[in-house]
Amino acid sequence: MVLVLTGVCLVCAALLGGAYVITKDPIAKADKEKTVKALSEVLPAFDTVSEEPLEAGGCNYYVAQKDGAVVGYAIESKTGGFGGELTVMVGIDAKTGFIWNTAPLKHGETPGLGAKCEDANGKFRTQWQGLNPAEHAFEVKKDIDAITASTITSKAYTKCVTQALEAYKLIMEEPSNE
Amino acid sequence: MNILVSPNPHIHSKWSTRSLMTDVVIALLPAAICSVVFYGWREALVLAVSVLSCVGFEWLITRCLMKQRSTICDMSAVVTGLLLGMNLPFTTPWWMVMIGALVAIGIAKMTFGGLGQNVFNPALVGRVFLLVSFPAVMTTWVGPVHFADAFTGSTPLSSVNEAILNGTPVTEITSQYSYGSMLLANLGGSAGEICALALLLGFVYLCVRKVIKPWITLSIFATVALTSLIFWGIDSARFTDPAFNLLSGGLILGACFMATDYVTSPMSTLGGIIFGVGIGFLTMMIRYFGSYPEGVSFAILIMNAFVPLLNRWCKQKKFGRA
Amino acid sequence: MNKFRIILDGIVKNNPTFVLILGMCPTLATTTSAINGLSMGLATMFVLILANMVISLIAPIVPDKVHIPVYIVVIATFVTLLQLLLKAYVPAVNDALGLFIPLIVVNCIILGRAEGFANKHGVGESALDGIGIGIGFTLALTVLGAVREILGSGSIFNVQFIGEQYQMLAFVMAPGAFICLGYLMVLFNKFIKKEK
Repeated sequence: MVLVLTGVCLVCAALLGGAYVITKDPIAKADKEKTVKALSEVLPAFDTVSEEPLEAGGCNYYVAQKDGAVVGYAIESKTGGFGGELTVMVGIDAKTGFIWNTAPLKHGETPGLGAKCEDANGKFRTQWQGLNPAEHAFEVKKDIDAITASTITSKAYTKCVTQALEAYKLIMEEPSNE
Repeated sequence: MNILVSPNPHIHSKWSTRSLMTDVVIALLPAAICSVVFYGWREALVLAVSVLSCVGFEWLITRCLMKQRSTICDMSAVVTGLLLGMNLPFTTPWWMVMIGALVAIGIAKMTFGGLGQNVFNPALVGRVFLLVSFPAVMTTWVGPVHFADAFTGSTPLSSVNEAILNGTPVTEITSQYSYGSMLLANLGGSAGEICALALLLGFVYLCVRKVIKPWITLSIFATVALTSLIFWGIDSARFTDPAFNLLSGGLILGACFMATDYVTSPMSTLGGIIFGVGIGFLTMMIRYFGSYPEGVSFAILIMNAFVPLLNRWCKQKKFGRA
Repeated sequence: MNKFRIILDGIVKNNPTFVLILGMCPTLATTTSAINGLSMGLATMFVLILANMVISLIAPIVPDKVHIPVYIVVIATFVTLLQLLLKAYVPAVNDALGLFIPLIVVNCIILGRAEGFANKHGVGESALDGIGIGIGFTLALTVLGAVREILGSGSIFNVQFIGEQYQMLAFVMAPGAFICLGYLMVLFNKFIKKEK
């Protein structure tokens, strides 16, 4: 009895160990591609990006470079949305300090309502592009248009952006990034 | 074999389903007329489409699918249609009303075996299905056409819900609505919610005709009043007051006409009171803490599910035994 | 037993979703679109065939007392293998199905077939049973996913053909899954009865 169970477990463990070794690199590559894809959506064109996310003000962020010069910062920020946690990636153009683009990374918003924040060409997502943080208070229904019938999602999304901008200020104050 | 569980009138009274249902229709008429007066021809269209398609679907299903004599003569489909229509905003497109009618009659009623077998109130299932399916249309309320300046696009309850989320005191919102105007003509909301007085008139008519017993309705009102009194007493800036809660939203329509539906409410008085308390409490919890501004329909549907249990628990005493 | 009969039984007479009513959790949760239903069905079929074969091989030497732990270890191994492969080569599928890939371990279809079929039959027959049941499950999930996608998102296999304002969101959510599954079961069983 013990012998069979041990034997089966050993064989299975060996099999999985082998599979893990074989798939390790492709998985890492796939993960990396996912991050790069998410970053390229919110940042101006870049060629290299920080391997590991850095941290500032409670937010993870990536620094993107092109030809050795920093072109943008992508800051991940999260808050409670309508249906669970909402994570938004905010890309900031390093040259101007303006918002380049934003993208929701993870959300549990209602399909057809709050989930419209996914739509990259929708009115809600496009309104963020090129905004100057210094000129806006970022308040829903004032300078930010809400998604129809989804005020909570719109507010959560806006809060994420505000948090990311706070984090961006901290990043700029850190001398190590110069 | 299915045993038909049904309340008293089916067993020992001279009333037929048809006369009972006709009484319900008569009771709903004042509120329906009010809503047409306030909202105009589009409201009449919603009500007409709703009633006609409910009756039509019932006829089609009984004749073509079940191959039986159709049951449309018992008027229950008319009641379902009227209630469904009164629960929708008057801006609802006609095809959406028809989908609601198909869900109400086809899914909620006939799938379970027709009148007397359905667990959930068909009109409410239709309404909640539409609310979940087309939230943008179903939650965009437009004020009555006769109050051009009250064209706010939101109901008193949805404004309050937003105020709570924003952290502004709800008194700022509630002070905009006088109780008198809410009693006569609710500002914004679905058709059946607009005139509390007309609905109460229908309720009194039903009670006088002994079509319904008032216990369920009264216990809902009492629970809503008590629950909101407690919360309002604790923090009047965050929670709305009892009178506001009694008069706003679909509470009166739901408590008077939907919760008292024969098939989907408990048979005994005690069961009915527990049922009503449950609805009232759940309604207030959804209004105060939920993300939907209004919770009456959800509360009634949830308590519908408990009706078989309540019927078992509060069995009526047999004759001859105290 | 006729080989073709085993496969056909898995699809019709023993259809795991519509007749045996097994594996309801992934059935209800992952069928928000036809493609999700299809990938969940194929993923389950992969594990089902391999687990059936291995279990029919080792069944004679496994003592009764530990047969459930052994079967679970075998099934879990194939599920983990599947997840690693999906993550590495088709990450999109892995993201879409998420938690429901590891949950294949506890899918009662797989343990049910191991207990009910594979440990009494040979490798070949067990493999055929895995294929049959797998196809039955995949078809059921794809049909359910397609119906929900058409009604709820107005598209089929991601090809949009109904305007946004006509989409019934209830069908992409949990209640729609239950409603669709119920009606599909009714239709399927009516159809089977007529066959007889």
